[in-house]
Amino acid sequence: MFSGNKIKFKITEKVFMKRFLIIFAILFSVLSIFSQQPSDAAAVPDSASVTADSASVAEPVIVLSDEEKLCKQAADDFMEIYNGWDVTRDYNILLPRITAYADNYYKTGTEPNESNLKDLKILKENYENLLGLEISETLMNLLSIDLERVNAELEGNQQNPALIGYLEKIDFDRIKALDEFLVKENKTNSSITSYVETLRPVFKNIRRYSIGFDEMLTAVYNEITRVTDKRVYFLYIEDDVKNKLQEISVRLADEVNKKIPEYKKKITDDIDSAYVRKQRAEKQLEDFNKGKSKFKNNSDDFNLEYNILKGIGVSDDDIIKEFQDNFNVGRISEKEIAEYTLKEVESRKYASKIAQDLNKDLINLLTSSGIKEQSDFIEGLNTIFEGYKNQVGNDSEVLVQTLGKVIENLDFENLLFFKANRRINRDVLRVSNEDIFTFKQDLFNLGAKHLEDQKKYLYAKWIEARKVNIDKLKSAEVSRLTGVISGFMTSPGQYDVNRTLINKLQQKSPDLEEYVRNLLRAKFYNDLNSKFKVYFRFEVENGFRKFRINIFIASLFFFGLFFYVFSTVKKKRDSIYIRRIPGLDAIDDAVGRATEMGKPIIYDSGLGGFSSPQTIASMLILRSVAKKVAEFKAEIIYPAYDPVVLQVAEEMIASGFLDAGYPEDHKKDNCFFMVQDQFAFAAGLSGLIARKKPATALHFGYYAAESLLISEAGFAAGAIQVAGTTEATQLPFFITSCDYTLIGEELYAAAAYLSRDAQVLSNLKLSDYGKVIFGALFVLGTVLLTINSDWTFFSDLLSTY
Amino acid sequence: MKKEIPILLGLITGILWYGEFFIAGMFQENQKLFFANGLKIAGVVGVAVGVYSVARQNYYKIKYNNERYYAVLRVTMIFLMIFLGVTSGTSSGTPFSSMFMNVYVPFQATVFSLLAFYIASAAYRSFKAKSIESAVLLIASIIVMLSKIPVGGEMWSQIPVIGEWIMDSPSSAGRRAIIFGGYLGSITMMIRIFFGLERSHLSE
Repeated sequence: MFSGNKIKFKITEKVFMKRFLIIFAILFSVLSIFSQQPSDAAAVPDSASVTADSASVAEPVIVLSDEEKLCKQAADDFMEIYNGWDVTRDYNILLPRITAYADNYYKTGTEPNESNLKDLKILKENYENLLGLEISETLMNLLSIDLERVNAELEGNQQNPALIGYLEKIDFDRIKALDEFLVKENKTNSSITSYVETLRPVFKNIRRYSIGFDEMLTAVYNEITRVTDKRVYFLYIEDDVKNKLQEISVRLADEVNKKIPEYKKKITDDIDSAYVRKQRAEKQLEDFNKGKSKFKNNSDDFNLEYNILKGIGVSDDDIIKEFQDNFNVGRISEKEIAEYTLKEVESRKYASKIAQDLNKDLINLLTSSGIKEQSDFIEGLNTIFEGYKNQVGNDSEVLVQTLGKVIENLDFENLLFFKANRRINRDVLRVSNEDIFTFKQDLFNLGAKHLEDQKKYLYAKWIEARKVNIDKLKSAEVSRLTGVISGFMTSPGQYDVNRTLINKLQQKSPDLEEYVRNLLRAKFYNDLNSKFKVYFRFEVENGFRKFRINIFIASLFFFGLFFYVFSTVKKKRDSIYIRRIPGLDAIDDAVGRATEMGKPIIYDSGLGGFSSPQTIASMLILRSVAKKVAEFKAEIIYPAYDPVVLQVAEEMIASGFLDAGYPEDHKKDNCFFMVQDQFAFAAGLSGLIARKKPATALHFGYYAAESLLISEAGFAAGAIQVAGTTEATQLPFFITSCDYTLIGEELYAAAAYLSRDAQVLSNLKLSDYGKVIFGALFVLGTVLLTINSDWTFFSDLLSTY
Repeated sequence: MKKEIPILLGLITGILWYGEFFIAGMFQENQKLFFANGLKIAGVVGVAVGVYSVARQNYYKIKYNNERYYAVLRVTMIFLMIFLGVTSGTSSGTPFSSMFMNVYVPFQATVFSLLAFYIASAAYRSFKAKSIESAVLLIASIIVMLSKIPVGGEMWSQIPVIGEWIMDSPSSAGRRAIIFGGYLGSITMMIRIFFGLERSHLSE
């Protein structure tokens, strides 16, 4: 039984293996056959079904990702808002207005087309006459070019369908050049005078209508913006539109916010990777500096240095440049020449042999001790080349050209590198050891500089990586998603306020209504789209800006410090030390001087509006000054640049007089509005100073280029002048021209100083404390960063993003 | 109430703007627009106030023969420009535009160009070595001036380098210190107004 079973088993095993192999072979064959065919049977329909299903086959099934689905939904919702807008209302409002703008343009004075046509004819006639005269070639060219344009316009090939003779930007420039050239030539050529006199007013006229046309287009565009934007303007946006936009934005913002952990990881990884790279560069520089001895100052082993430089990433170009700078060699290196020679020669009949021989001969020549001068070398080369020429025959152009090229391009000193690498006769090239030494020093410096630059670059990259915050990544994500969403939107197309619109209006084109409606749709679509982007952005970035936490804490600290200083100053008012400000001490004397001389005091607050801190500070000073003026029974004049500031200044002066107990002395007419233009104000104020000859002139506030004009006028009038501004660029002018100048924060402290009011004295003390604290932080940060560039705590603390 | 309401308004506005720097959102975006529009409106009202002020001032000047001719000229020009603007518009090519471009702009350029002469005159007065500080200033300014012209480099190749160093290092550091001090002073003043401690602008 046992043996029979064994046999049976063996037979079964054989059969099994045989059957297995057969089945496997069949399966493999079947699979091979089917693998050649499309897997989906439906994709290879028979001819009948092709016709029936052609539509479905032609349109590939697009499988959207989850993100794309979300974006598509957002786009659909957006389009729903857009489609829900009825253009009719805005169309009815705007069409008459647009028409009125166009009509107004065409009906003001002479009709532009008519006028331009007349002018074009004048231009043509005069140009042709001028071209018949003896004129310079330049003028002839300029006239011919413009004549072409004029002829084209007269023949009906208008550049602008809505205005004959319309000038493009390029035509403006040409006409300007022509105009200038005519005037220039007229000085030497009196025969063209009458033409010049005729042409110049025509140029002016034709330019005027083109500028007017562009201005009309701008006015139309502004009007359309004003009306279409009304529905989606932020402050007055319709609730319905606002809610829908916010709904879409919230959904998308959720998607962006889901990625916060991913962003956090990315930020950390980027910082770590930048840090590792920075550290590696530092180490490399350190090693390089340690390995300075590798650069054997006097050795010929250039290959070693070359490999070291290559190893740290210095490019061939830099090394060659350094070499060329050192030895003043040409641009073609010996290596290039050798390569060129071999390449050219090898490709010809005797190439291989000649190339080898030539190479050998060249090396022999270079190593030959008989060569002392460059001429020896050239002579040697010529001998070799003559030999080769004889060998290959004179008709071998390639060889002749190649050898000629070698001689042509071969700079004798170019061979230095070649020579040095092969330890060949240095004397041939007469390069001294000092030259080699200098060159090698430079090579070392080049390597060190390269590593230093790399270190700085990677350090900056590390700092940059640390500045990246989640908000920045979110912002980038918002931009990306809005791009995806735009892909699913259907834009109404490009319609602009242009000459086509005006042309259609003029011609009362049958498709005018459709064109204007499409224009309004496009405008509304763009407005809505930009609003949606803002909503989306703010929905994502909604909330506290964590990256400004340092400023938030600093501001709270500053508030606390302020109250501490304020209460301390109040308690120790009499004992507190206030540093002297000579400019303010002088104000008493200056006002007294005005009283003695019986002349007025002129006070101005510069160009700032009332939102400028300097103007506010100036107003506070004005009150104190006015009080002193009232006490001294003097007169103060205040010319204003800004009408709003004028109101405040009037109030300040009146308060100052009231504080002094002489409100009746205040002359309201001494405060007046001068002009709201920089140089007109400077001229007006200078004139006022020159006429009134004030005893004192005070300038406190924001100033620009007019500072010197004003203060020099005061100097010329012999007034005592005190000025104050925080504009660092204008301070030198005031310091030069005025008797006293308040620099920087002294302007803000001036009111406190003059009044010695406990409430405002804290201003001065707090500024001083602030300077000490922040100054100490700056110094500490600088010292720490100098010791170790990784200790960036203080620089981080004081950084704003 | 006359004082409290402005102080309260100042406080609320201060809080809103302080918050705007730290908090992002549509409310803050709208707030910016609201205040920008408000300022524009105030500016327009301000123009009316300015015109009234000019008219009143010049009326009295003409009436009491106080610089009468200047006043007459000024008022005439104002009314002429208003008249030209109203009758023919302000676009290019109109008499208004011509007056602006051909009269006003050259005057403006003339006043600006006076600056060059004033700078020369002021520099002449200030470049005197009266003390150590002014001597330092004088030397530094001579070097900087020489560094900006070709002849400086011709005299000594290091002059442009030194001039650049003066501008980039000591001058730049001083300028930054002034700006920094200015900001600190400005912040302090704003805190005072923010908390209603500074009331002199409210005539208190």
